[in-house]
Amino acid sequence: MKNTLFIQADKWGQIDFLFVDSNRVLEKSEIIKIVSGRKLLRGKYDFTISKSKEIFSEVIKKIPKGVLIKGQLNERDSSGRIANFTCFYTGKPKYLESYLESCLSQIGKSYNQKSIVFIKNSLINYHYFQIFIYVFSAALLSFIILKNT
Amino acid sequence: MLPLLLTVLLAGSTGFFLLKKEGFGFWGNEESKKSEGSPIKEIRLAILGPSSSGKTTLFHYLTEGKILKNPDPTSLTGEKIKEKIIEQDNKRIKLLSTEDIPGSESSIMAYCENLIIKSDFIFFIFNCYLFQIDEKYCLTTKAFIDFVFRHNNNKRVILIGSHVDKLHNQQDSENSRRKDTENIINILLPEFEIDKIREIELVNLTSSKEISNLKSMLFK
Repeated sequence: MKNTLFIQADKWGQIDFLFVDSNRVLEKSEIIKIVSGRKLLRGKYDFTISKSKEIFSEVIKKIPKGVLIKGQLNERDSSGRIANFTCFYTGKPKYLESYLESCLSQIGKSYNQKSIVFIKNSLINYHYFQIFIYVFSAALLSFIILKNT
Repeated sequence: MLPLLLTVLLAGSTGFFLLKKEGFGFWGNEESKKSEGSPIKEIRLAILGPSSSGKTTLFHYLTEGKILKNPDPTSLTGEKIKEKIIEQDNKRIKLLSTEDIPGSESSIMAYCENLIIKSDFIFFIFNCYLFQIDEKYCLTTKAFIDFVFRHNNNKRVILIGSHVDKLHNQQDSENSRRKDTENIINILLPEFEIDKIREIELVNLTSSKEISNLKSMLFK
């Protein structure tokens, strides 16, 4: 599956920013089609993010085949709100920054460093947690089998 | 060697399925489902409108009772609003779980229809200041309202003009509010039947009194 990055247009009525991998999608109908892709798995998986209690907080959610990330940009929209991005990311945590940079540089935007540090740390922690569970499960099962043989 | 290999494979696959499962550990969304004794009216609410019109502020007020100052834009995927029982003047209604969707054009096209079909009460919120001064904003908003009316299947739709404070600054009065309401109705009238746009309110969402009037509409 491909990485997808979405940024809402700065002003209502303008075309939204959408990248599939690092390629910007400019065709409006194509953007809508890709954004609607979320519907395909609806019912089976819930793709929505729980609303955070804070005014802004980064969100990372595990979804099948990747993670859904909401992070902050350095720019503001036409209403003065801090802009954010929504990203479906399938790559390794260490490449997240370079992926975002490759997309955002095309539209003259940049990510908030603090936001990315938080997201990267969460992804790395999750990665280690996964490894721990694998190793622990393997050790436990080995112990049970060896004990019974 | 073979038993060990099998063990590792089995453990690996168990861990894999555990971790892939939606709602695992701290990644999950746990929705509280408290059962209530007496039957109360249930409403699935949709709050629709262009970006930065006040959808999140209104949702936050209805569910948390507080007015958000400068909320961040809603993410593309939408944000889950949990089921909640709300009260006003000793009346109670249950707001069923719904979604706060972003107001960007592509997300509207992608999600809106489904949300309208699922809901039984719709607040359509737009920036009434921009609606009167920005022609493009006005046109795209009217197209959006038309989209809602074409899909709402006679469900109740209340139009809300937000950011009314930007229209009058300090000199807000009943008269000027009425005048602006008439002005907005006149802009809408060529394209919409009067019956459809009869329920229209201009509000300042930063005023707790005005936002609570919107809440009371849910109880009528």
